[in-house]
Amino acid sequence: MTRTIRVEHLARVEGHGGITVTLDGERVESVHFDVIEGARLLERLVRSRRYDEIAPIVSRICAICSAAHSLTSLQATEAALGIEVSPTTRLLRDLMLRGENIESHALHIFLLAAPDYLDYPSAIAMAGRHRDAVALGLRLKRLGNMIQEVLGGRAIHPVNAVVGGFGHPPSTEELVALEDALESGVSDALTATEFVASLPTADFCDTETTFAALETPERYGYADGKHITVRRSGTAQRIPIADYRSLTNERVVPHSHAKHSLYDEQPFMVGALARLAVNGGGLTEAARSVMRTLELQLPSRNPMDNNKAQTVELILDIELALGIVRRLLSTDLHDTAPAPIVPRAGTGTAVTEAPRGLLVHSYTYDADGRIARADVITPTAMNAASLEHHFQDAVTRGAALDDAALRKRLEMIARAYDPCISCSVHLIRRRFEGRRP
Amino acid sequence: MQATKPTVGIFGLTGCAGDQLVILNCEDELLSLVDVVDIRDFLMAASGGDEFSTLDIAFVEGAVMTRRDEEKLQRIRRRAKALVAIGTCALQGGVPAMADGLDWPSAVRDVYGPEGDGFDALPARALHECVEVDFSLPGCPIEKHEFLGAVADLLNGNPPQLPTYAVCTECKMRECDCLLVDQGRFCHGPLTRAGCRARCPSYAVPCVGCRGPVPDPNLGSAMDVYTSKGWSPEEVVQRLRTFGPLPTPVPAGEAA
Amino acid sequence: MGHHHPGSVSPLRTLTAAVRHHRDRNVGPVKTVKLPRRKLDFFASVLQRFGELHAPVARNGHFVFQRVRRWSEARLEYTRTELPPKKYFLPPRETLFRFTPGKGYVPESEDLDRRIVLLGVHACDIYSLNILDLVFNGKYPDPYYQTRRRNIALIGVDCIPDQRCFCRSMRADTVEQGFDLFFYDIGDYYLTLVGTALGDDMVLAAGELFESVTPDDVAEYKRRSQERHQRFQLDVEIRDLPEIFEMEYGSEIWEELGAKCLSCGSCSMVCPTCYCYDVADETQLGSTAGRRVRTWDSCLFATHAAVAGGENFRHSRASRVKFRFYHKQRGFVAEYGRPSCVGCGRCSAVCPVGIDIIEVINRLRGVEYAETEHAATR
Repeated sequence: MTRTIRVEHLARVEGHGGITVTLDGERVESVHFDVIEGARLLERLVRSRRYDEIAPIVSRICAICSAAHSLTSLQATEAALGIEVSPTTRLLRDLMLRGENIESHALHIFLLAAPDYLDYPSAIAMAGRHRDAVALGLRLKRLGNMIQEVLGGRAIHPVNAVVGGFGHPPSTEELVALEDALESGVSDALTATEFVASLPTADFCDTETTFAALETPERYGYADGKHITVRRSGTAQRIPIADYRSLTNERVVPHSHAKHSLYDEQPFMVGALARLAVNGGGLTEAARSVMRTLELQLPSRNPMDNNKAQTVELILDIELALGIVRRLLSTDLHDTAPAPIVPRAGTGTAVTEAPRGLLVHSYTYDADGRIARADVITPTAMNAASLEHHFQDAVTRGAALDDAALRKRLEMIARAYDPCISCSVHLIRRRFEGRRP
Repeated sequence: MQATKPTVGIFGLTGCAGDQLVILNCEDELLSLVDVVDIRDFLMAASGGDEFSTLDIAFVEGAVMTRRDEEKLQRIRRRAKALVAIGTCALQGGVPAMADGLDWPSAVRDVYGPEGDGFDALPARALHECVEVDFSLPGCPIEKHEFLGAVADLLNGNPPQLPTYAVCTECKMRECDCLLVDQGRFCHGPLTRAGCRARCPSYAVPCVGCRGPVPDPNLGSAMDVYTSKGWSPEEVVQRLRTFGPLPTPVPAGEAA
Repeated sequence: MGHHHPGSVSPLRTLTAAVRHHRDRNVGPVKTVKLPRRKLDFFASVLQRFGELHAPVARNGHFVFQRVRRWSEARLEYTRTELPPKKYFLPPRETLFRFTPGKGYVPESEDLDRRIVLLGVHACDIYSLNILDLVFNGKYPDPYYQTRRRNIALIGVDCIPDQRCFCRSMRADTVEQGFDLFFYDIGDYYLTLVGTALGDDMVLAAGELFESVTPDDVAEYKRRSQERHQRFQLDVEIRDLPEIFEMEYGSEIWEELGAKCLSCGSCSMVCPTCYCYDVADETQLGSTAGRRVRTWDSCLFATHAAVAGGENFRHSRASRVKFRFYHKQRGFVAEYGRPSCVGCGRCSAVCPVGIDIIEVINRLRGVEYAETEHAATR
């Protein structure tokens, strides 16, 4: 007997998506992660625009990861035009990405994911009984936004990060205020850990998962890595970032609509859980302790662990951000002003870790400094195959459950990935590129 | 004084969800906000929305870029007593509308191949091109203080009060250096709506026009200014057409 | 005996009190002394007893008035600041009062009693404040402006005109009143005119710092003053300007300027005597309590002459540009007896489309662009 489980409009995610699963008895026939979002063609529209215009346009791909899009875009432009930035600029950008991660994870854990665990339709509804938890989440979110506002001028679509550096470095007063806020944030992150540890378990999946993340050997970072590492079954393969296409290639998969990114014929997951799998050696003491409290075992076989991984990153990012701020307080920040730029033809690729996972911007410029070709590959696009893999596993395991219960599991898995669907529209686009002669 | 709280819905069509995120970024005010309004529909933050209830106020961000968007917008318009367009995409199409004049179906096919022909994909339109819009909040994204002020005003039965003058005014109030006059950089300030407190120029970054044009832009004169600083007319037109289609010029000597 | 009372301030004053205050401040120069140039920084620290010290500072090749913690930050040799000192007396945005229905309103007085010493104000800017006094101490006294006038001391300094200055044409290049002290650079000394009792207090507080003036000092002042007069590059006749404006009401120059003007508002923001403001209420979420805020406005804005019912008395841009010039050079004359323009040159320095008041006046007069022998290239 066929059965269709449908989530028409996935709530509490960024963008518009849906899930459709059909079963025949206990056998899963098809699994679709439906991307309903409209196509905006921004990679096509930036063609012929000059290097100074690009980052403000592509940051509009997504609001939550706008700092990641903006900084990755700037790095790709700088790589193409042969522009070196100062170590201080790199430090400021690192801090900005950590601020973004803090805000995004706080938003996700408390406002988007937690309500499911406690059986509420929203954090607003949750605030009645769990006011402290919601207030905590909002505080952590505020901290992440504060960092982005100080560094970027604005939390959504930052303005202060430009090709070659920054418009103005942060002032001493602003850095001191950040230091204070981050110090308070440490205890908030530990309280957040207790909250996440208290949530009911969600063992919906138990399956081998391949993870991919930017390798940052010196410290747990989100930029300036040279390789993407893919971890599976105890092995690790490294892909130089210029070869990103060998990871983000796409093929037809028999049981599904969307064309997927597969690496070595397997779907792969990006995001916090993947980063822990690849860069776990760079954790701080407190972060390791949080992992133990949350009983997070690596390698994970359950995508719901992504919520725990984000909690680990919360404390880690706050600690590392505090370290960066203290360093900045004793640094001359004036070498963050961009040097005059001489446009030239070239191609540049930048890969960073957005909160949701690997983000690639690759641009080719002409001799006038105008974009000839732009390629943007977002984490949620890369996650689509893995999402369906996990849907399949969850439905197979839970086939005896009724529709409502199964639907809830599917939604929770989708949310655990923290999908950013506006970004992932590029997913559909990749279909065609894979088949071009 | 209302006995029951006004009902509010917050929606997004095709866009980056930035304006909805601004609302969620009102961390200090969010809990007070839900004390004074009854949010019935906010997919980004809440499941189990009530799609049939009447709404006193509907906030809609994003541009109309699919038939689904159109139908969704029509449904919202039918339910809502007041429809407030929020953000540059909703007000004038946003960044996808820079394609002003481009053959959209061809571009879709160019990117997606022959399958693109079957896509639900339309060139970007502002909300007012499809339905009647009662109020608009500019910005990319909207400003927190303008959103909260607008809600306060609407709850008191008043239209939101927003500046219609140019960013230059706020730049001067802050004593920023003039990037256009002194440094010859392409600053959209004179043509762009204020309300952002000249944020970008305060960081020595030229205004990119993200809040959309003032209601009465003097395009002819602006073209002269930019070309006198060395840009070609084609470059000027392209830059002015970043966050929407080219602003409608106003005939010389007249205001909008 | 000083006139500045620390502590509580009532922002509400009667008209008579305001006039008396105005008169008390401006007793005319009571004495002339001199300050050795190298002791200016010492005097600056003495001044800090009278309030926060603010002076022009350099920033990216421009100058702005701001608080100085160390005198070395100040730059007295400057041409013009971005915003004139009016920003201290009529801030770009200020809360007038807070209100709660049923309970009434509470005037906002948070920063009104801030005592400030503005050191380094040019004559044209002091003149502009005397003009603003006519408006804000006049028929409708403004308690916010008046309180700040009482609490902010002005110390003037002389200057060398640049290619945009035409204060001499506007009769605003020297000022006899409106300052507590005025410094004239005579080489190794600043010749110091004491303008008020407060200025006198400042000199006395400096102990042995100030010295008596000699006939040689006076001669040096006169020599430099004469030299300064020659340095003006712009000369415009204003004596029958109001009449000419009247006669040229229909001139086609207004349409030309209307086609150029972007209505960006820059000229009004930087003008020392532009004082138009907009007032609006901001309410709190879910209540009718709130605050009343006033913000700088400009007659160049499309909404400036729009009234309830939808009528707009200056719908066209040309009519708005015309209005601004007329107000400065004609309308203000009719009401207050002199043009409100002080010739500081800020408006033409900031206009993105290069609208220049000198060119406008000369065009109306039918004379060629007037430059004196010492004109440098613009």
